[in-house]
Amino acid sequence: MTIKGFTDLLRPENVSFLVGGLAISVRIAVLTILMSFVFGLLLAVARYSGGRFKHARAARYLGLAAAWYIEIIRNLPMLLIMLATYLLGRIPALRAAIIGMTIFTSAIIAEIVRGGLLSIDRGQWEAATAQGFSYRQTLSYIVLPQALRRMIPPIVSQFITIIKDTSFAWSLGVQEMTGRGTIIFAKYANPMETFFTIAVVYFIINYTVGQAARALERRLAGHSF
Amino acid sequence: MEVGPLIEFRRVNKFFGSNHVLRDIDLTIPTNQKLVIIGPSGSGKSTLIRCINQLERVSSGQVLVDGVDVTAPGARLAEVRQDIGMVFQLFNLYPHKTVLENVTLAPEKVRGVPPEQAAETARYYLKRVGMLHKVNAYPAQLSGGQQQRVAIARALAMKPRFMLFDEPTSALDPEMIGEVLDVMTGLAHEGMTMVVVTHEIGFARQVADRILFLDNGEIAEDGPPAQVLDSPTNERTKSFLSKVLH
Repeated sequence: MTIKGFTDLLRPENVSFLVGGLAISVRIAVLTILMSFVFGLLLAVARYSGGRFKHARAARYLGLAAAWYIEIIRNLPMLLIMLATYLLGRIPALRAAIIGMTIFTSAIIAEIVRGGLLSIDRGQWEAATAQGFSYRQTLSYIVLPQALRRMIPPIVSQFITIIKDTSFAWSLGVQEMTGRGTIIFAKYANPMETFFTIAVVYFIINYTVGQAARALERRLAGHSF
Repeated sequence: MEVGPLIEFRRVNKFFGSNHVLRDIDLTIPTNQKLVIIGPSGSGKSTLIRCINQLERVSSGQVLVDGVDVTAPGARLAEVRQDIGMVFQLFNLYPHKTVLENVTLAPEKVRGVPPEQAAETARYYLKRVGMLHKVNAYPAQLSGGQQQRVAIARALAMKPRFMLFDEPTSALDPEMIGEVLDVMTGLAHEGMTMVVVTHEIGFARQVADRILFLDNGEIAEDGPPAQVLDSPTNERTKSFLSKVLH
């Protein structure tokens, strides 16, 4: 690494080019996180409920469909899914990257959520059922809130993975931060300096997210279980 | 006017796999009765009480609550259960809710009681069980005895027709059993219909007006406390009581 490598990198036009890429990375990450969380939650509840309602045909088929989706998708490479979304979907690269990542990540989140649901004590179901809560009410007022708290650490790990994996979007030609870095170092021949700087940016973002999650955990742990 | 029984078992059988847990149970419990069920572990006591609100499905036979066959397919169980208070061995409070929220949640969400009114009712029952000073605490911050008293208030806040107690003191340290039994005794004196599974023979003698001795899934003894506890006819009852009465 040389001083010149860094001064080239930190020219105003290059900095704003990289910051523009970072904005795209963040946009991909935020949208993927939001959508994967919603779809992952729905998939998890569908698979979990299918297992509990063996006699209700609709619930069972829905559960089986969710299970198959999860098992197929999470055993494929995310990049493959992103490329397939782009090439088969005939949609703009940025949108394809977000959708492809969401397709994959939803399956991962679903299994984390299902694990959380399964960890809730049977007594909670019994107490709620005995009070006259319906299945849906028990899930939304009693079981899911407890499960979600337990899931904070693995879910946040997954969110951090998503932030890092936004760099895959470069493979579809999306000029996110890593992609713009390669454009810069091709011009100035400073790959070490560029990657080092980009790595620091990723680290700071992800470390902050992780610490925020720890703070949230501590706050919730302070008064309950 | 003829008043029908509040709870009725008609030839109820329950199997867990090949394990025959309840055998041809016929049982009629009228309003206002304080029924205590005793018996060795594995005799089916908990299963029997759990059949009343259908936490446990029966294998054959019928259970009627207030004339409604709760074992019938398509029975409106949630509606029936709203009117049945239940207290569990392990309390089963909602750990993510405060004491007050534990008591107001079902009245608000199941019965649709307005929040202020639910809170007022909750405070009334929390005061009765001596837990009003802990309304903002979380269950994990309470002792076992305190948690169980909150659980009783939670059940009462739904204004149930009757109360089920499934070994309410079995998970408690000895010094906390008294505070829970006191609350239950008070409830009994106010005329609440109660079905209690317990190992507390002293409580049974003091509060029950009828005791069932369950053995191997059958009602081996059925009568007032003096008869069941002091002059049992069944050999198994005698041997069980000699162990628990010391």
